[in-house]
Amino acid sequence: MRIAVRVLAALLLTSGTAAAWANGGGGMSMPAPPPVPREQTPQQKAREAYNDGVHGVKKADKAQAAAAQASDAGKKDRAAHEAQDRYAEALAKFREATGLDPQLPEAWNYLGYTSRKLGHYDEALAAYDKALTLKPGYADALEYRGEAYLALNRIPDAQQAYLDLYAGNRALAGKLLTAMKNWVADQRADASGGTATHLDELDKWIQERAQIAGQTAALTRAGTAASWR
Amino acid sequence: MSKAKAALGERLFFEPRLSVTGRYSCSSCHDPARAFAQARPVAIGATGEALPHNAMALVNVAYNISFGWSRPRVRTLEAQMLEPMLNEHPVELGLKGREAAACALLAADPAYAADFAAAFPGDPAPVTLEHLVKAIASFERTLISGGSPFDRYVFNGEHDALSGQAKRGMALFFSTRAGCSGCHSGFNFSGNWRDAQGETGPASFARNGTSARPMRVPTLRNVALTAPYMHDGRLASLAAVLDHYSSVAAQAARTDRRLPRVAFSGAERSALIAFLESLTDESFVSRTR
Ligand code: HEC
Ligand code: HEC
Repeated sequence: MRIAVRVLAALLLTSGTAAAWANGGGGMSMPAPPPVPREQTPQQKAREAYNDGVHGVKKADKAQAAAAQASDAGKKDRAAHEAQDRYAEALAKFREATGLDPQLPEAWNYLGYTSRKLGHYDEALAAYDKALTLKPGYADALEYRGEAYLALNRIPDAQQAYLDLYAGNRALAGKLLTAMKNWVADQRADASGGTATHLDELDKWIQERAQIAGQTAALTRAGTAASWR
Repeated sequence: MSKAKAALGERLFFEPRLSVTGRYSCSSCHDPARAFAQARPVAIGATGEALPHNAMALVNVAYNISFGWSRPRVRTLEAQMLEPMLNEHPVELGLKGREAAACALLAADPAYAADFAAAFPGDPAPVTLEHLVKAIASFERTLISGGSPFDRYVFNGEHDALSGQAKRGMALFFSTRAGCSGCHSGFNFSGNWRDAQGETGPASFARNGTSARPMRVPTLRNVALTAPYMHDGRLASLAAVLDHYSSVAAQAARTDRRLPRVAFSGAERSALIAFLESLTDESFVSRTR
């Protein structure tokens, strides 16, 4: 009898957590949950690790932005270091989360993000691929992967990422296009960058895409039935 | 929507036994080679009576919010279909009062009996008017066109899919000066549409200077194949359509503030036509029959 009650309590907790998860976490006014039993399922532990990781990423992004803005060299350095440390901590959390529950596309996506922020591009790409296998068309992962391709100078792949996003999520496509523009500017500033003709070609491509996007702002395939296309 | 149902619907779309004369079908007025529109100004019914309107193209109709040129209340393909089947003034297919006889005729045909049974499994008497309508509607929902040079340019990133002239026409089309995309908008260039979440707004009707009452803003996909133009087929070519919009710009009393404000130059007219021609989807017109 006691065992049966324990099992029931655990089930209630699982479904409660799942609902909160589906709603994007906090903000739920639910009756106080039954006391937390010691032994959590791996899925529950994965979600906890994931939530911790997301919390860490927010702090890391903040530190990175502070580093970018700081004019004082010492401040800049400290903030940049803090960002790296926090990305590394968050990365560990996402590794833990994906280890415990390999079916969480969001955790794979953030594993990619933190890896990329730390310069581990191959690991980042593998993580994004995993996220996209679990959740095809996952726009955030498509955008992040596009930026990873840029960092690896894989321009045709970045262009394809842009087109994939363009069909479904104009805002994120615009974000990737801006990243591409910045990439070109960085390459031009860096003498050892790509050849000028390649950069000119890409520049032209970016300008044409920006023009198309401006003209067809209201024209999207998002949300239409899958048969469309 | 099952494959069997859509396949049965396709056969029925071309089936002359669905008419009073045994010689007329949906395809008599909706020609697949013309994006399911018709070459004559206004359609002629099975018994020779003229209809008030030009037969519409059937392009991405699954996404329409309303059906027909002038009636916002017709809101499903199934409801729309009863018009050509049963209308008497004028007669289109002329099935009114002959529904049961037409169904019996099809039920007696072993091939149709098998197709209906496959499309509506578990029903002991599947050949009914209701099923017939459902099957044709399923077929209509497969009429999806999104493979034009314009789509390849915009969605597939083939930047040489459009000529320079067509690109200039596209810029003009989407500019406020020409105003076209203010009415012909969305992926079907027709105003609002239905998507997975529901309707994106009310069906769009407007007065573009061809009629005192508002007409539905028709799709421009495959429009180069669907002459003559407008609800009554009054304009024979795309050049005539652009001359119409140019003359509207010159009028003092404009029926809609989205209409062009300045007449088009010869080069602009050609550019707009090149753009409209880039909306032709060859794979769509060659897919059936
Ligand atoms: C006699 C010629 C004729 C026949 C036969 C005919 N149609 Fe039509 N169809 C028209 C005309 C004309 C219109 C425009 C009606 C209006 O609004 O006045 C139209 C409109 C439509 C529309 C609306 C398209 C849109 O975008 O709103 C659909 C769908 C359609 N027809 C399907 C069919 C089907 C299915 C059949 C066979 C069951 C059929 N038609 C038979 C002439 C015909
Ligand atoms: C105020 C809204 C409005 C604007 C602006 C507008 N149209 Fe139209 N368009 C319509 C309507 C409504 C019809 C159908 C009118 C009718 O049936 O008589 C139509 C019909 C057409 C047709 C004929 C389609 C067919 O199948 O018969 C073409 C082609 C066309 N428009 C192109 C254009 C172009 C090019 C522009 C810009 C120069 C433009 N339209 C601007 C509302 C508009």
